[in-house]
Amino acid sequence: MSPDPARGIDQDPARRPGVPAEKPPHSQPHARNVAQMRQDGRPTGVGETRTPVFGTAQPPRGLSGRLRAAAYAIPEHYARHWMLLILADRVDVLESRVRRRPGMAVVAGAGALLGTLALARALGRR
Amino acid sequence: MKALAYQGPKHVEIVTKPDPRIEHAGDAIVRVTRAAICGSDLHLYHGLVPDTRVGHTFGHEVTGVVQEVGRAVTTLRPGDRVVVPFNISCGSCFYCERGLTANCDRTNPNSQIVGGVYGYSHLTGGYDGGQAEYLRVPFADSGPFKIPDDMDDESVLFLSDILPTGYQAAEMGEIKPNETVAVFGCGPVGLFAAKSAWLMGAGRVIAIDSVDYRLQFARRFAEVETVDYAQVDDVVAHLREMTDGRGPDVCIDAVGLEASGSLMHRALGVTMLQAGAANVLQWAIGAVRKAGNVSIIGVYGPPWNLIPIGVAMNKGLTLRGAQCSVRRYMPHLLEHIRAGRIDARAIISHRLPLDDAPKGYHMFANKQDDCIKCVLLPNGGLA
Repeated sequence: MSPDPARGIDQDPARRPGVPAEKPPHSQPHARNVAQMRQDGRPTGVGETRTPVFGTAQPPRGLSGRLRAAAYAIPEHYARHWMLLILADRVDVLESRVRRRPGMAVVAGAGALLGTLALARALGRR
Repeated sequence: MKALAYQGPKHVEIVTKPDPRIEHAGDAIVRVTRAAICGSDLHLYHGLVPDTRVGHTFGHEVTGVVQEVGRAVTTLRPGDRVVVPFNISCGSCFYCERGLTANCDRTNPNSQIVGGVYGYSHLTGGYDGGQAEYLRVPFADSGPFKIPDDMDDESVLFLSDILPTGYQAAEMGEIKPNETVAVFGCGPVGLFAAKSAWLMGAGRVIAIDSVDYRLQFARRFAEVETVDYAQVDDVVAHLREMTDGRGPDVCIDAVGLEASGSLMHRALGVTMLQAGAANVLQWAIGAVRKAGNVSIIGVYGPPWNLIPIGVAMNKGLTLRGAQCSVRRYMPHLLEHIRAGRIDARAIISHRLPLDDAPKGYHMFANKQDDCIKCVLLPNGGLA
């Protein structure tokens, strides 16, 4: 038995804030529909239900961006939506390394090319 | 400003980014005083969450001081101290009106399955997080909770996520008086789930992990019985033996997709044949008594996991899982903290300046230096 003196203080489900999980509809105090309101007062574009502030701290770019665009064109109940996103993440990391160290990328690329040529030559001698 | 930025799996750096600005009438800018590293940040850190982009700033457990507010914000003023829920919620959509702020329909244009979250990939909306000097807080009237003058930031920091998350985990178990509750995982969420189980009247709480210092801490902090699953042949059978052969009434999965303990699940997770390792969920379903409850608060990624759903059906289990809708728990849990019933700050094992965040991630991920919880101090303060 717990020595905790507070044991059972929330034993009554009525004291638990998440019971029931889904409450009767009720707006939170002070909550208003500000989704359509820009800071500069301009109206949100026609048909644009979400302003540009929603999401995209890092806009998609490069090959990974194209993969992400392709992924988001596929509904998320398909596994390929997720697989493409995971692939895009790995490509993004490679792209970022190339951007940060282009010299290293050239050396790595040249090394890979030479390695491939050497392998092909070795296989050709068999 | 200085901010943490993801560079690839197991690689984060501190970089300089433009200061966030008010982009929307409902925004606020918060100067971050405390930003914790969450266990779920490790899923991002390990590159396991889809659409985690290079340059992304993590961090969804934040306290700070309001620096600036948008013209539509009515409840906050510059200078207010706030604790920010990890969910970004509009407060007025179908789900927010029903208290389900984790399911907000307006804050995540990228997915239908989850609402917006700070610093948690573009899968949850693509918002930069709070492991930075400043944070932009959308829908500032709906999310942030003002810190009462008699409370310090660290005492309430974990109202942002892990305390309500642990509490909700216990709540989803629908614990009845004197029931036996098994909590898998002695990380921060597991610790708070165990504490909450006592508050809800559990008669016995058993915590399961394999990291010795965490098991020791759980015994001390949450006064639980512990099981080191690595020291028993079969954790499911062991839990049954401890409970008259029936199994615990409630099992809580507070681990999620990075579970250890099963070679098969690890191998399938690494090869992406399932989204991480789901063996804790398998254990929970196996161990819980027939007609018992399994509460899933550990994070699992899409698209699928191997779990014994037929066992769950035949045993007549109730499975419940949800991201925590943090906002509705904050006032209630604040009172528990204020009354001394939960000493949330007691789990902080490390306080680090923002510059040392990469070290903090490495330490937390590798369970070094008896790390329970790392808190970053982006704008200085107690070190």
